[in-house]
Amino acid sequence: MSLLERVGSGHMQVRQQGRDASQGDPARIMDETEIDADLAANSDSAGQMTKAIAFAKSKGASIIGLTGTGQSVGVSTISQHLAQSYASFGKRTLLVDVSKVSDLPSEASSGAQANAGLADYATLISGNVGVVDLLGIPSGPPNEQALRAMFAVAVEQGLTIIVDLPPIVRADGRPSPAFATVGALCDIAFVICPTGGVSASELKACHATSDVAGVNIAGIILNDWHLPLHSLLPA
Amino acid sequence: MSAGADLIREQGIAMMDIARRRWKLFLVPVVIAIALALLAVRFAPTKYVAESLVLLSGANRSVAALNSNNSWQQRASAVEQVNAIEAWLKSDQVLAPLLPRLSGYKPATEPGARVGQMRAFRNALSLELVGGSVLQIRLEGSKPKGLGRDLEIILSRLMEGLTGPEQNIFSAPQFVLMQRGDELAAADAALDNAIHASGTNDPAAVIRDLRQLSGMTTGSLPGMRSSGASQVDPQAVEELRRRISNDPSVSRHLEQLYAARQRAQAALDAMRSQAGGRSNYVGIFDAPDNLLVIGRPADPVVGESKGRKLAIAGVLASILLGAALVFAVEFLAGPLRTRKDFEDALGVPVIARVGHLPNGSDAPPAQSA
Repeated sequence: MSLLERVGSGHMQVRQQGRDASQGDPARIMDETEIDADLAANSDSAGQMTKAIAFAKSKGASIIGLTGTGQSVGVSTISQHLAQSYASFGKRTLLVDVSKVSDLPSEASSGAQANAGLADYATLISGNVGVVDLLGIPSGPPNEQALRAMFAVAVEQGLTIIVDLPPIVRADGRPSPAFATVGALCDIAFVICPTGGVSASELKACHATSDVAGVNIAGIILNDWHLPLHSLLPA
Repeated sequence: MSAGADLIREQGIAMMDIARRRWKLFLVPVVIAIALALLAVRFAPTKYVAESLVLLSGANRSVAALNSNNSWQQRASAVEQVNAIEAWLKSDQVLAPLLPRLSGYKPATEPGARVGQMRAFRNALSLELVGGSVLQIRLEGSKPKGLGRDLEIILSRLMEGLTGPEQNIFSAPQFVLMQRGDELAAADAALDNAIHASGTNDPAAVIRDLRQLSGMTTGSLPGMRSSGASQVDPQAVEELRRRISNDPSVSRHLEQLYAARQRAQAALDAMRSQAGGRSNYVGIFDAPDNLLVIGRPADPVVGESKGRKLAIAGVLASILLGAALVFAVEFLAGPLRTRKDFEDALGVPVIARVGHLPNGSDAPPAQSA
């Protein structure tokens, strides 16, 4: 099942309860007080997404990247839930999937792409969430300048962009060019770490790579899913 | 919830995660140890033990006479007694004649093998004070049959030593007497050798002449009371010396050896009058006749496998080894497990912790890239 299918099939159930009213009104955006109240009322994973949103909101970020310390740490899944959570607060959200992109092209692609907005390639799944798979763009992924322009246009249109970034380090242990290129376009980035699955040295190496690439790692999201009795962990 | 409680919960779940991740590493040494333990239990020799109890209190009048406040003195005294009995019972003088009477004894062909037999028997036999007044005697063996009889032989020998005269136990005068006897025998042997070396055809005549010469030169003859006023005829003395040997130096040497022999004889005679002929006992108890043997030793019915304790110890050690391996690997890998670990390592805050996220696919929701 592709990312588009997974998001569009309605399986993302974050914020389903009590969110129907806000989802039905795309123009309505929850304010800080509502987010804080929601945060206090939810201690589950959906509540954790709210905490991430509140943190990003406090930083004034419109483009939020999510990356991981390695392969299969849950970046795509958490990105989807974060986008859906944003949407549930009435925020128009664009989920950009860069996770499968190894590197952006250095040359500008065809003219039609350069002038197109990122939202033009989105598949509108629900009222507030659109998904863009860079590999799915017919003329191929845009280059860095084009993508930067696309992001700027989307932000001007009031969209919040969640970027599903590739892992900081590829499977072969080398830094991922796509992470460096696209991550630098994000206002902030969260690194997703599997609890107990990464060492301090690995994490520091990732941090150093991010610094060199100019990616602003602003916070950590711990993935406790594989831990026994993870529901007992402090939120 | 306090930060301390949160940390405890994090550490507890981290421990469970370590167990979940490393259980194979933990189990490898344990499984190997269990397999070896089963082999040890199966093939290790079984140890059988015959026991006998001896009640000491009736034989310990002096110890029993101590008042009740000195119970520790009573016990200390009894412990000393048991140690003394054990030392005597395991001595070479007792063991050497005892070993051939025991079942399964095979005569040793080499001195080293005999020493080994003695050492093995000493290790198999143990005496222990139980409760301050009961002596427990234990004999271990690899076969149950005959073990009770062997212990009975040992017990009998012990009682024999405690209650009857003992051949190898000497009073101080008797011990000196024995030494004096040895010295006399040595002097006799030296004299005999010297007489034979002198080339005489009649050693008995030489000895008679030496006795007469000794009597003349010391003023008395053996068996005769000295007159005190008798005069020694120098010519007779010289004549006797020539009869003993024509060589003056040989004659003088024999004369000296005879004098030494006579001194040894005199010392022995003097000691005999002091030593007397009393019997000697292993005088550890005041009233050894009152020792009570509780039951006759019998062959043990059930044995104890030596491998069982080894197996238990091995399995316990393997558990420790497995745990040590797990913690060593964890230490070397150094995974971060707590919120603080991550924040310290990266220098940015942990903003969320995500558990199970609902997902439309059957795959684990947080495991897809």
